[in-house]
Amino acid sequence: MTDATRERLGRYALLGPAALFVAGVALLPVLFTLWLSLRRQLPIFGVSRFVGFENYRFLLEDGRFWSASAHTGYFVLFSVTLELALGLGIALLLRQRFPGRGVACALVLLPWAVPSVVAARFWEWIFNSDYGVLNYLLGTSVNWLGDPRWALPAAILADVWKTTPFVALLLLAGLQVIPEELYRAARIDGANSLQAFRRITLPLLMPVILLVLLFRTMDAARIFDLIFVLTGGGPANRTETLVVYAYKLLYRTLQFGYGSAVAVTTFLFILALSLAYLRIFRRAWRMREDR
Amino acid sequence: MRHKVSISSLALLLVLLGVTCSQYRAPGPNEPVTLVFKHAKHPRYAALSQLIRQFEAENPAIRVREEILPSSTDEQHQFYVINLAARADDFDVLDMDIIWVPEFARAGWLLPLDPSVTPAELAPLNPAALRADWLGKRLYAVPWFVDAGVLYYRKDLLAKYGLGPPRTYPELLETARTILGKEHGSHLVGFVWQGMQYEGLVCAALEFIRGNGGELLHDGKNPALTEPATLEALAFMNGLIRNYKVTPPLVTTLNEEATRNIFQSGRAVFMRNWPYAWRLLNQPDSPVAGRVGITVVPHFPGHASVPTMGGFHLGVNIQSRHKAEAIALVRFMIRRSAQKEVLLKLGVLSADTGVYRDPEVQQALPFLKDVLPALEQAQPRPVTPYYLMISQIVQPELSAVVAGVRTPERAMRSADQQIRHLLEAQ
Repeated sequence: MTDATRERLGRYALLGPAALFVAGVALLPVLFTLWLSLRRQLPIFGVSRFVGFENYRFLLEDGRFWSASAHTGYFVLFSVTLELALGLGIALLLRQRFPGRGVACALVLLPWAVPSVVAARFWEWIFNSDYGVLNYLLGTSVNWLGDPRWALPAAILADVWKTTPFVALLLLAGLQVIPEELYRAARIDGANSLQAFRRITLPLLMPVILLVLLFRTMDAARIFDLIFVLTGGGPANRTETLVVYAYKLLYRTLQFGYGSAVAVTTFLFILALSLAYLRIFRRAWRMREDR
Repeated sequence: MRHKVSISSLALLLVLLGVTCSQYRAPGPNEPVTLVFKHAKHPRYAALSQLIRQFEAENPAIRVREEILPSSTDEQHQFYVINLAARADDFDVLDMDIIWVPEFARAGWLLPLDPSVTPAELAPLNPAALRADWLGKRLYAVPWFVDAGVLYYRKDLLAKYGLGPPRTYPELLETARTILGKEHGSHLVGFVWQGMQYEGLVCAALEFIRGNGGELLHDGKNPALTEPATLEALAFMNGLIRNYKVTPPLVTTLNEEATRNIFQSGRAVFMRNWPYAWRLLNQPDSPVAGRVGITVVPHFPGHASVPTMGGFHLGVNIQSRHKAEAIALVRFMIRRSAQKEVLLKLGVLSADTGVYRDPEVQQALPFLKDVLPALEQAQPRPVTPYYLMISQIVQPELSAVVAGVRTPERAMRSADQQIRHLLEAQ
């Protein structure tokens, strides 16, 4: 055995346990779900057989799947956009030096530290149409969670409150690595703050923004806990997202095969989005390097 | 030094692995067998331990370990499904919601109990509850305690206007409108029930439907949702909110506890709920303590009240390594003496109908005389292994009716089609 091969073997041996671990906890379950999605698996019917792509074919004509997809898309689009806009604003504010900045940082982070289910519970109270604080503040009497038109926007609002701090935190970190000299040079060149923001902050922050978008989109696309606690998918299924639907199929009605097909589709949907982001991400990095 | 640490930690790991893998060893001839009893966090479940110690005293060869499941029934169901489907044998006796029994039985996860449990033991148990435990000619579980939908009303408000508790829905409507008309200015609503999209909505809606002679499913297989009696009942539910304004639109967000909160704070004349609320409504710090009445849920003229039955049943895991001992525990739990303890100490309603005639019970829990008719008239939700799937189809459609986004006809036609598709697929 040459030294080179020995070294390579040694390297594999060292990577082995980690690779086994990842395969065991991540890869195997994914493959198992894929396999399940090709089967008709209904323990209560005593049915367990291979059906190929039948489950996926049924997806195409399942109205509930399509409405769940639409709700998921709507949720991702609005929650991520709002979180990014608000998070950027907060990050820009927090970058300024002002007395009490440390306290402000901690306060902003607070919602992120609250577990989703707890957050959902108290948003339930805030949204209560009778004595909820939201109606009190707005002077309205909207049945936020019970009205089919308002339930999904309400869930998005709760998610924005909960997750904006995460976005702000990442963006703030991104802002802090932008060298101060650039701004000083810009000021000397006569740039106003809007120009500095557009020409320096935004381009240099772009990679972080894309990273945040990637994280948040993946996260939002698999939204479950918040909606599950707030509305359970109701009223009239108007807040049912893909993961909520998959959960109901899998654990409430024991349709293991079809439920897995929905789960796999959700997985592929998120994977495709992530890959698309990664492409843009790489291009943005390269542009930054070139600059 | 570093080597020593890694070797010793490796050794520790191996020992731990060894311990976890050899968790089970066959008990010796004189060693007691340990049964694992999985049960939910029932109202005063701590009292259950006393009952179990009593069982152990009678059966010195058996030890019982209680393992408590999360309080949400969805999570309990999820736990059972995952473990039973994986043929887990680390629990023996299981506590199941009435609607899961046919499903688990059909899946082959429960041990048939009929050779061991005698007809004499079953005779005193609530017959409607027991109906859910038979699949074909075999008995797969026994009712442990029962539950039935009831109507709560504000005794004081009704008395103020010289009105009695309503027996029919039109009477309820009339009573509520009379009181609301005179009590204006206060934040009072007429009638609250569970209108959120979840299992509770099916329970509540079934009482309207069956109280009008309608059904969800005939003989456990033919959907009956598009029949006029069902559609009329649903139109009435919607009317309560939109035409008569007796039920507030926020009913679409209400589960049991949310309705109780409204009623308990004195803001509703009527509430549909389960008997558990009685004790909470009458706690000393409750604003309505002593001002609440309880009666059977209403019906439509010319029909009878059919409260929806709930409750929990006991069964034995078919993979259990101690089947005989597990059956002994189940039989112990349905004995008169145990059932009396369940009623008195656990704060749930015993499945044994004879217990309610016990003078000690009647004295301790006088409100039971108003609940008893509900228990006697209650019927389980359609007894079929496919119930949970059917419920998943019906829930959004009922929710659509209550939220006013679909007419009863359209919603029920859609539910009917989906259920037929599901049942044909078997």
